[in-house]
Amino acid sequence: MKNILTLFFVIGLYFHTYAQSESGFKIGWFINPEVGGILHTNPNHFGTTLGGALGVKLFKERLKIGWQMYGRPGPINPQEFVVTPSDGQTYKGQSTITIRADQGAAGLFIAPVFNIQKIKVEIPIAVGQMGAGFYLTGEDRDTPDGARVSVWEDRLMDSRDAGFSTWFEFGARVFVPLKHDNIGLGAGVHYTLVPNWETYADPSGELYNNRIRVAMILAFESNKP
Amino acid sequence: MQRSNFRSTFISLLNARSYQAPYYRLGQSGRFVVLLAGMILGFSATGQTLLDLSVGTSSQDNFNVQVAVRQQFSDRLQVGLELQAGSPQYRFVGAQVMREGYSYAASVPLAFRLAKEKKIQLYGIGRLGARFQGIIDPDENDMRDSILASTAIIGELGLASGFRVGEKITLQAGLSFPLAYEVSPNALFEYTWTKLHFGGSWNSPRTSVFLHSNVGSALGASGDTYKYIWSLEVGVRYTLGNAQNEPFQFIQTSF
Repeated sequence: MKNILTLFFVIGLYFHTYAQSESGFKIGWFINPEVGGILHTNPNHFGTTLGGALGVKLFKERLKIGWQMYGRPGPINPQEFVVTPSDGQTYKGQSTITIRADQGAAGLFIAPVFNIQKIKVEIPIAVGQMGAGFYLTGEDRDTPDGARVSVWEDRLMDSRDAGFSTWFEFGARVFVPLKHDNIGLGAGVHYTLVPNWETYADPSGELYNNRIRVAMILAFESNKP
Repeated sequence: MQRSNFRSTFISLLNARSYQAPYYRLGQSGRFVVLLAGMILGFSATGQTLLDLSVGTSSQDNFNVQVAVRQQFSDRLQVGLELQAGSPQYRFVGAQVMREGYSYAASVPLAFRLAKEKKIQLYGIGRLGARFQGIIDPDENDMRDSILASTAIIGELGLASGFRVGEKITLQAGLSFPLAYEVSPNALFEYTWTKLHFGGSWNSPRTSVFLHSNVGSALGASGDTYKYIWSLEVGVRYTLGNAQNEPFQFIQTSF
């Protein structure tokens, strides 16, 4: 949250300094909401992600700098994982638990932009933090003793139901304008690294590490070449 | 002695209910209507006032109703008051799920234009407010004889953009980060979410009809609350008073 506030402060300061009049407007801006998916293996499935990036465009709009944030929410990703609780525990009389995965990543977004006629090609690089974990779902969220479900998730998964890691992502994105240069539609392919992320349900961390992520992106942005 | 008189006068003013002024003879909803009408009249006197009425549904509420009064102070700044009432279907009190109860929120939304081109405009958006909700019959004894109430501080920060497609149609998209911090009955970070906004409006000189959708992943309270939130809102905007300032190409989404 502190980072988000700092970013907004810096963006606001830039705009306040330079955007006093239409003619004096020196830097560009972008808002890029996106819908994407992580190509998971083991098991193979598509993990739908929602998020986006926003920020400023510098050097005659040839460099985007901003904030990127996306998540893979469990409720829209039906893939379930069956895990044996730690230390031979049972939950509601069962020796295994069925859980879902959710994830969120956020960080600094930098993307050089090249124009090939009307098409814009970006090479995005993102660096930040990822938090991801596994959680009880459906009626299992109503715990036997009325305690908060996170208490049971901690207990059943040896306090490693979720984990955090540094997050790196790089890739390529292509945008085509839609009727007007200020709005466009893009597609992107990214490679994601989360070294050292591990949890009880995924000790290898391979659910999110070394994964391809694809995205469809909407561009609302300035156009000041 | 003077200080004592001042103090007693001040306290009696605070407790103006004792005068039985007509305002205080009204019920809570009556006072709300008078307050809202007063705001509209007050704002109208200073120029361009916008009245937004909308209804919606969401992953949190079966349905909700929003009333917002916004004052556009200049070509760049809009500040308002938004009131929301909802019929909850999936909300949280103390990080425990609530499927039946009530939810109200009052907030001060703020929007400021950061940049402008021929057809597109960029806005910074913010919000600060309070949310009141409660579980009816929390002990589930089927008596509906008690309420577990909660209060939270709500806030939002983000960027949004409005794009004029033609003379009457505007499209908008944005990315913002709303959050709720419960202060009662527990002090806990209830949730934040990455809110993607998409929407559009049909605009005539004094009236706009708008449709907004919001969606995003959420987190909070050690994973006990929301993981995903969506909402849909449809509404109408009336412009009151004289349009002294250039209208915003954007209608702020509700919380």
